[in-house]
Amino acid sequence: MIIAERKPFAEIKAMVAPYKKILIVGCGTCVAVCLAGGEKEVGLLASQLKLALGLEDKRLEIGEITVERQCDMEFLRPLCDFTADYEAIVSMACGAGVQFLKQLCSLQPIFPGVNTTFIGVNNEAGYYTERCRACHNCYLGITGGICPVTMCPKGLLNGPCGGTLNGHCEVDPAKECAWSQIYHRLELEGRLDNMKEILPLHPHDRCTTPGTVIHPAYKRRYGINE
Amino acid sequence: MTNEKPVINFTPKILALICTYCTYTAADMAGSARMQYPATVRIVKYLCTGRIDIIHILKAFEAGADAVMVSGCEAGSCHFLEGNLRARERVEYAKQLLEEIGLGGRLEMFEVAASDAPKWVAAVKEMTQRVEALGPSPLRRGKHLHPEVLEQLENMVQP
Amino acid sequence: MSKLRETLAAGGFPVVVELKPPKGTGVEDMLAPVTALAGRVTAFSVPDNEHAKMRLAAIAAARLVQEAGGEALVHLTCRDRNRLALESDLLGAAALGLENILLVSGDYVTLGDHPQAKPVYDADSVQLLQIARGLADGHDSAGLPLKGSPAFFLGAVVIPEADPLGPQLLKFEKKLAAGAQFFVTPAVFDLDKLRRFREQLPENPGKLLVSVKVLGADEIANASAGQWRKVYSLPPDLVSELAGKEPEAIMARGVETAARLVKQIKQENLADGVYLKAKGRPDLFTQILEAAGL
Repeated sequence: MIIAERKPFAEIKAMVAPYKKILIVGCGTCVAVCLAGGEKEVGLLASQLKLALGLEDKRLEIGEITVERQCDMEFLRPLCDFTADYEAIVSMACGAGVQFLKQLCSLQPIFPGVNTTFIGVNNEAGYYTERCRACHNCYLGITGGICPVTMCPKGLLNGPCGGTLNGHCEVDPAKECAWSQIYHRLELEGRLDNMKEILPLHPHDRCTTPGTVIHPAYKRRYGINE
Repeated sequence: MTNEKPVINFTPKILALICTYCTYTAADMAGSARMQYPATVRIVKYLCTGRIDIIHILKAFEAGADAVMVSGCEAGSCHFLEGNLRARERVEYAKQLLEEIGLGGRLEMFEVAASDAPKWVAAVKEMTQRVEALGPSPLRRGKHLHPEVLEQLENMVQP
Repeated sequence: MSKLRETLAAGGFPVVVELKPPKGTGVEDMLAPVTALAGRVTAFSVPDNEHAKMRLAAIAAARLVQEAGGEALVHLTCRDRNRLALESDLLGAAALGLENILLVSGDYVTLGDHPQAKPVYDADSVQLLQIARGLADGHDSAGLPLKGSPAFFLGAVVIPEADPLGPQLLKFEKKLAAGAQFFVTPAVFDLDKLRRFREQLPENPGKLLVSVKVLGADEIANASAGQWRKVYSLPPDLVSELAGKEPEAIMARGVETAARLVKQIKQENLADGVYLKAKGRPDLFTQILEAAGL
């Protein structure tokens, strides 16, 4: 899932400073799981804004609503009538959701309430780690289930580099060297030959932004001719 | 004069979010034993501090509380096993959120065992002194806690 | 053909000394060892934004070395350039008369003085060796033919004290297969460890240049504070002997140790040549070479 962190309060406060009536829209999927932008976090942010502005003797009218997720139009459409009442919107969704929500509200400025960080996993409540960089050419089958693009800061396809210290990474000594881990995994699986092959240069053209994926079954519907 | 006490011309209004099994019992005992302590605390009774949501703490400040004290069982003795540990993490985060907006120093968590009435009294006295030093909440308009917001808070706890 | 390649091919014992490109345009200090030692030293090594610290471009510095009368060994890291720039720089190096190239991954960006820069690593060191050999064979990495191809003497790094050693050895073989003709090690202080490492290498391991380094005061301070984080280890008695001494005393002892190591390495045939690191100071290099009889 996508992990995000709530922006520092001072930044959000500055973003909404020019307005008198704002709507905070939460998202109930990824950002809710990582405790950054779900219904509860919307409530906390609204409360913080009321308190902070109260300290400056200002008033801000704040609407709060959370939808299932903001990356699906079917959940955003019902917000159409709602958003028109407000001067500005703060979206707690990841960057994708913020942009999608904006498509619905052409007149109101939209501000992101979180910084989207990475595609990762929920190890335990409050503890999330990056696992995938959407490189469009998954190597996990070759490297024993450890992603060299993500888990190695240098993204080496033929690692390790000369910076491994006692099996740990020169960049963050608390982290194990991804390629040492790959070596041990492949050794356990009896597939060390994978590490003897030279992996070729990564095809970065596949990751040219912004990317598009049309499912093969829908190519006719969207007019993509082969 | 060396030890000048600050001149206090307001009554601190402290909201105490406390658990039934430990702190409330202690507070009750303190009352029965006629232990003297400042009448600055308004109690909101939870079954367990683990039920406390961070929004409750912020609502308390919205209602105009000068400070919030959270008090539960000692670590390891929670009647519901881990409730007080979760409360600890939430109070830590709530402190950060309050610092961020400029309301720092007005939230604290205490651990008071059921039989420890004196510790309850000490906790209330400590929070009261802290508020007297910090002054009333800049958000408190007038003398009373905002009744509507207080009702909102109590509905959140026990709808 | 480069002097470095010839000397190694003939079984001579080449000496390479490492220069320090400046953070700026003032190159006199960097070139001082060249004027002092061009006769005695086979090649002058020019690192590429070493330790991710921004420095004058290695290829430009290497050209200046050649113009000052020395032969250069220029480093190229994967950290700062994509494959277009890597190939382009390699061709540029060749056009400027540079032949000895050391291809390395490069220390990560956050370790250096521009921590917010974007790390590139479009190719890793193995792929870069393949690219360089491809250029020498007359084509770029997209397979397109070149109009005039370079001649390179390609080198890479190997870490004798890598832990775990297994992956390092696998990578060594990949580098050989990709086109590495010689290898450079990080600083070596323990020749027994070096000997044991050499036993692990395959049949035809290419040429090996072992680094010998003069430690500075801050490095000794780090080591004695237990903060040593490098891929080579220091002998504990050396550290305790030097801890707290004056910088020049540390350097002097360092020169002694270096000279002794160089002599021993040469006598016992533990390497095909030596790579000296002494803060780029011509006086220290000269002292080491004198004491080692080179």
